[in-house]
Amino acid sequence: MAPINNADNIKAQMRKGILEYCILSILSRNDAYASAIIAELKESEMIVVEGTLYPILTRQKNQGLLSYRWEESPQGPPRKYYSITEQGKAFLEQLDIAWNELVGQIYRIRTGNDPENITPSQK
Amino acid sequence: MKKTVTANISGIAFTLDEDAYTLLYSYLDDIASRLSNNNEGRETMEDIESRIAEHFRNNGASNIRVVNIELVQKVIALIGTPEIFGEKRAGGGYEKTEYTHTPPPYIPTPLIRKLLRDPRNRVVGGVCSGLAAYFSADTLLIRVLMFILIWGAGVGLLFYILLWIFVPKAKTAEDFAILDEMQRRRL
Repeated sequence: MAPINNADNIKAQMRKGILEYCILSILSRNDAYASAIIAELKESEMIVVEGTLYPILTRQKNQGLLSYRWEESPQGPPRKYYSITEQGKAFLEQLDIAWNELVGQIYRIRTGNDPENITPSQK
Repeated sequence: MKKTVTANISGIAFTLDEDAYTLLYSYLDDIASRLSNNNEGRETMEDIESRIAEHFRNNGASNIRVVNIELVQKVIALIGTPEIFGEKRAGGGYEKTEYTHTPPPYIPTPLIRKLLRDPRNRVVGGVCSGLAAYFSADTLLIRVLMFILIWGAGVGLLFYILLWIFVPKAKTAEDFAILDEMQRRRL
C-alpha cells in the first residue's frame, strides 16, 4: 500500500481554512451564482469538489456576510444569486489585513528576515 | 428494459432508473446524517439537492429522458463523497431529520417560443412535433393537418421539406427545456 502523502493532506487542510476568505473575495468583485463561485475556485484549483461550498455559503449568509435573491433559470430550478453585504465587505477588509500579516509572519519564519528589510523583488 | 422511479428533487420531477434512485437516495441519506439537524443543515441539504437537479438538467434529463446510474455517479463525483461534510451524527439520516423541503419559489417567466425540430419525438424529421410545440398544440393534430396538406394540396410536401431543411434541430439542454416548456403550456 502506498504511503499517504501528508503534504497533500496538509495542503487540503490549508485550502479548506481559507475557503471562506476566497468566497468573500470573489463576491466582493461581482454578485454570483454558487455555480460561478465554484467554477472560479476550480479554475484556481482551490477546490476539487463542489459540496464543500454549500455549508460555508449558508453559514456566511446566516452570519450576515452574504445575502441572496432567487433568480429564475431557464433550464432548471430557480437559483440563489449571492451578493456580499456591507458587513461582509468590512469583514473582508479585516481578512485582507490578517492575510497580509500572515504572509509577513511566514516569510519571517521561513527566512529569518523581517519582511520590511526585503526589496520588492524578493517578496 | 428497466423499472423507473419518479422523484421530486428540489421541486422538479425527475425520472430515474431504479438503481440510480437507490444510489442517489443512499448518497443523500449519508450526507443528511453528517449535516447538523438545524435550519443551517436543512438549508445546505436543499442547496445540494438544487445543485443535483441543476446537474441533471444540464445533462439532458427531462420528464422523458431518464437519469441513469452513470449520471448519478458523475454528479456524486462532482459534488463530492459524503465524508467532506463531516462526521456522521448518531441517529442521523434523511428520514430521521426534519427536512421541511421547502421548494424554491416558482418565478413565472415569459415563455420563449422557438421553432425547433424535436428529434426525441419524430416520425420523419421531428417537424410536426416541433411545430406543435411552437403553437403549444397537440402533436397528433398537427401531424393530421400536415398529412392532409401533403396528400390533399401538393404544396404540403414542399412545405414539409422546407421546414425540415430550415428549422434547426433541438440540440442543447436549453433547446429541450424550451420545447418542454412550450408543450407544458398547452392547456
